[in-house]
Amino acid sequence: MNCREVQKRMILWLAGDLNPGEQPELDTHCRACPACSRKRAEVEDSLRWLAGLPDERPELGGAASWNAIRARIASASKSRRRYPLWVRITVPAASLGVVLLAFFIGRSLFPPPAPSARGGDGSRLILRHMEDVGTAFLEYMNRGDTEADQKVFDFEKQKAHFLLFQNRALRESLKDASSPLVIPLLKDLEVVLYEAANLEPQMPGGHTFIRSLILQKGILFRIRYMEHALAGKATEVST
Amino acid sequence: MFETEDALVRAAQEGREEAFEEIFLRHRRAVADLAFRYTGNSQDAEELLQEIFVRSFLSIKSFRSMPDARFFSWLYRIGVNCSMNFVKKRKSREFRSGAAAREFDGQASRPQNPEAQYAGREMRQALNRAMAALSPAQRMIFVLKHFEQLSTQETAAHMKCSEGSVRKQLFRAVVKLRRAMEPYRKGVS
Repeated sequence: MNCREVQKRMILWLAGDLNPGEQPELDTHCRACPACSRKRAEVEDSLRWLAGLPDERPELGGAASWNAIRARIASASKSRRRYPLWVRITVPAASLGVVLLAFFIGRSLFPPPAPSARGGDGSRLILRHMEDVGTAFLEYMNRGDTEADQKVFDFEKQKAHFLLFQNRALRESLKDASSPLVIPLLKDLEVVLYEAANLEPQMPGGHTFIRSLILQKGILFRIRYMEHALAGKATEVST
Repeated sequence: MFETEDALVRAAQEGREEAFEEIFLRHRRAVADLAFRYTGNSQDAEELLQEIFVRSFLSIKSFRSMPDARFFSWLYRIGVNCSMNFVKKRKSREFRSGAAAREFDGQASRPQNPEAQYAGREMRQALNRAMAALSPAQRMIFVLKHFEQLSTQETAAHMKCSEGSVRKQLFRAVVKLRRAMEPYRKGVS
């Protein structure tokens, strides 16, 4: 047995794990080795010292302690039970589902404009505008100067204002890129929409004037033509 | 009321308060000893005792009764973990304030009253201060091996380390403690 092995045995000895059969071998080495003998004496001294250490066992965990524990458990359980597990799982999952559903419905109802419709020739935007204006002008064509028609006068004025604004914006955005047919049509639409937006209720024959302008400029025919011309392009864009 | 420990634990897992109380009454002595031996003072030990039982009761549903898994071992392991966390938290607070170092250096190495150093209370206080200077793991191994009289194998199981590591840590802990307690030891011998 060498000094290194003796050191290992001493660690075992201090932990109370030294096999009794190994003790004589350890003693023999220590008698011949002053360094290991000193270490052995230290371990012996440590074991004596450990045996003499005080060990108090105060009375703890009385009724007050139990009451405090019970209160803490009750409080922790209450906060845990505030919502049952199925609620804690289902509610966030359902909320997430609703948000996702709303997102997909929103996308299907209001699809974002295709990149080519935002710039370039803007076929899809023009087509939509033509449909809006064409519908509004058809209304004017069917309108008379009767009392019943006067009731929707304000609504029509607001609509004409909106379409006028949309028309100007579209013309501004297309002035460089669009076909030569679109811009003149938008200019003519602007004239008619301007008149429609500035009609006064007391103005006699106001609707008749608008109808004559629509007919005079061939607006409905040109809108229809434009719709046909753009329908193919717009389908390509939207797909 | 509860014929076997299994029945008692099952009742506690169902949330029955009388079962919690029974567990507390059965095991408080052992847990209190561990807490006091580890912290070294009654106030901290009481706080730690409560912490151990609260943690145990809140996680009692995770205990699975097996032939080789006794409830007390499970509770004791929670006690060991809670104790080490408790001291780590306390130590970091004291380290920030510098209180522990001042107390240990100022009193353990230079006893104020040579007569009183023979008294058990003074000796215990000196030991507590010396133990406070050990790492939480060394301190726990020393407590488990020396005071709780656990075998090296049991200590290793609680500490989740090898038996060799337990022995080495114990050896280092004893060397440190003896060195810190030298003034008292000379008085004793």
